[in-house]
Amino acid sequence: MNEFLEQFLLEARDLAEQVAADLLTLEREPDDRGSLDAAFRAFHTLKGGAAIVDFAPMGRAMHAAEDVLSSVRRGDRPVTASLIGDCLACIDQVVQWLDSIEENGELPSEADATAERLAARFAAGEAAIEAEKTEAPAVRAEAIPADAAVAVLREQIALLAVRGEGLEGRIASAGRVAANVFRHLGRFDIPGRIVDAVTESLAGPDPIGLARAIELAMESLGEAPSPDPVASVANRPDPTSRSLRVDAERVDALVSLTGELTVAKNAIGHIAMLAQEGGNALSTAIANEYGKLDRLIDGLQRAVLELRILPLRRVFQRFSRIVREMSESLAKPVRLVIEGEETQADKVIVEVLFEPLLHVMRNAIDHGVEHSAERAAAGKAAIATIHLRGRREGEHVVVEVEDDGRGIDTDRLRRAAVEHGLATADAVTGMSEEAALDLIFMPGLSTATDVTDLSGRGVGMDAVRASVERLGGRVQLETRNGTGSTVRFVLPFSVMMMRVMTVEAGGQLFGIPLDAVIETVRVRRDEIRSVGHAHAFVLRNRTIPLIGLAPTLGWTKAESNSDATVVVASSGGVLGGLEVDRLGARMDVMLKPAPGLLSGIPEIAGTTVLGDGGVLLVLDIKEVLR
Amino acid sequence: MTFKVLVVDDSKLARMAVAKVLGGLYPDWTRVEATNANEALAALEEQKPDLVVLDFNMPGRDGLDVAAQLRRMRPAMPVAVISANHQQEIIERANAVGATFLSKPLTEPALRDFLAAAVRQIRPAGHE
Repeated sequence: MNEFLEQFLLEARDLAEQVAADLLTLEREPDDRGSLDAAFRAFHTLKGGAAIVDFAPMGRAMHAAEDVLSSVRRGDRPVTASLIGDCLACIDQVVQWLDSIEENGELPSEADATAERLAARFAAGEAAIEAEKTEAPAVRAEAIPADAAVAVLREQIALLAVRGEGLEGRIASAGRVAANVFRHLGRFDIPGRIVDAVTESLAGPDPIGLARAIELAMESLGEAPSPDPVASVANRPDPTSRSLRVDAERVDALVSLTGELTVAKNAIGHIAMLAQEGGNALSTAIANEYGKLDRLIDGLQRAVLELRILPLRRVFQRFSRIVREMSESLAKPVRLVIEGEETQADKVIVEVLFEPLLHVMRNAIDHGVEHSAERAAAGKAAIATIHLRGRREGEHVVVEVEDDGRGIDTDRLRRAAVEHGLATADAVTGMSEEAALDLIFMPGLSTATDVTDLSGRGVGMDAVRASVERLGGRVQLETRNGTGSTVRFVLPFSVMMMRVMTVEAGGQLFGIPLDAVIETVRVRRDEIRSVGHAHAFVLRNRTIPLIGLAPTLGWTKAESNSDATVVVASSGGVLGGLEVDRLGARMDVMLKPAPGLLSGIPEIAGTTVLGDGGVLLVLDIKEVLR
Repeated sequence: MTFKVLVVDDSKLARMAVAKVLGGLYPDWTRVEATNANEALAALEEQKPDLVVLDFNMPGRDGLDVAAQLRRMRPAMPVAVISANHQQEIIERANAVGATFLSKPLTEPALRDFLAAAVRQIRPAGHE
């Protein structure tokens, strides 16, 4: 890929992200001149970039979007949901094009038709506005008769003349009301000026400026809208960015180097320990120096990992739009409340989070949120609320989706599990509520009675759990019958470090992720029962399958008559006991993908080099227990 | 004789595009870059460029205002304003402040004409 195309990808991605945020702000606050100008500028820059890399179809689509926003800036068109929708569709297409360029290293060959469709969409929107203007001016005027409008505006001016407390509140409110009145009167050119006047008046705070602006605008009511786009130039300050753009690959290289440095440090730790056993002055000095090195490298590692940190905003932001579309297509009014979008997490997490979150969001709107009639009957607010939250809890990042829908019907889950042959009728009736709720994570289970467009795309909660667990996280589910449910992802802050417990089996050292370890127990040989070829033992009235770690992985195991040392571990709700020869220490390791021959063994998640130069094989407990 | 060109655009891609055309025409000229109006004004003081190629579409400021300001500060310095919007209004405003309008993306013939005219303009001003 040539450097121009590479730079184009970088810039266009940033711009696409920025313009999406600006458009959503604009939808919430149609008078926000800053967002309008920024969105317009971004489309313009995208157009320029497309021309530089010779990508004409994208240039045409961007031009269409730019034209539409330009007419909004002139006051010829109002900001409507469909206009924002068209612009967002345009940006979605840009992102798809960028993905395709990134993948293939060249411009998409069949972009012409897509670009035409986008341009046509804008043209259709424009035609609708024109028709409305010519056909129904009377209707608009009737909605608020001119006299009434003038009376409302006079009230605002009177309000601004009042001195005393709450001045800022009055300025903001008078400005808002006045802008709305002008909009109702079809004067889309005025609100921008009112907003500017509000900003100015708030700076004082001095209400005179706004009062004057409203008066001036009232005087102009008889005249035609003035075509004066230059009147209010963007007042958004230069984003004086203190950030530095660094290629992601360079950061990854730094992370990898730091990992190796950590391994080297561990080796010195091992030597320091050996030396101390000798017990001379030099060994104490080495141990002290090792202590310093340990602290420094920990600090370095933390700092390096911070380089790869992104705010959750990157993924949360996309949901404003997605929820809006889902809500429209399912005809269920939904309000999305985003909290903690500034929470930071490792880039790897932020990037992978989208898919599982999308599925959970879909479930919440499609299955959780009731239709209006049902909500009304239950005495609930007509508009459903979904909270998307992010927060840091110690070494974890918690992301949750909470809806105020009907909750999860565990009886239906039980029935579905039986219908799909995933469990017997006896098994499900005996299940606790908690266990029944856990059925939702079984592969192949879908309780939707009617398959809609949104759900039923073959990705179930089992896939959600799998992808979250792959990141070293876990999924929690809470449901409140009739009042909603919460799906919570508890993710590691950084994916690099893994806490493991080392064990020895068949002469080989293994690492078991500490997350999966429940407890370690000693089991007497005569307490181990044979179940067919398999073995099991009873722990606190629960039968737990016993797995010999070494034979399972193809290592030979020394026969022994002494008590079995067992690590009880769980993953994805499955519990099992791993018989090992010896328990080792707990340590933080930097996991690397398993090399060569080992990569074919699914039970091995990765490897790490130990202080003494030995290789630690870190287990994928889910695979071991399978 | 070589000159120093100040290229002002917040898009690095756009600056790269200008650099490519410029490098093809005058490989031995020096190029300095700025990403916004403030940087451009600072570069004007510190780098003393002989001519400026400026993007119309600037964050927070109208490129033509910046062009006008640059012209006021250095009346003899040739300034080109480039824009992807080929609107008569912009062209007229550019001419009004004494800047040359160039359309975006920048083509070699357009930049060559501007630079040739600029060189003729600068020479009598005492450059050697």
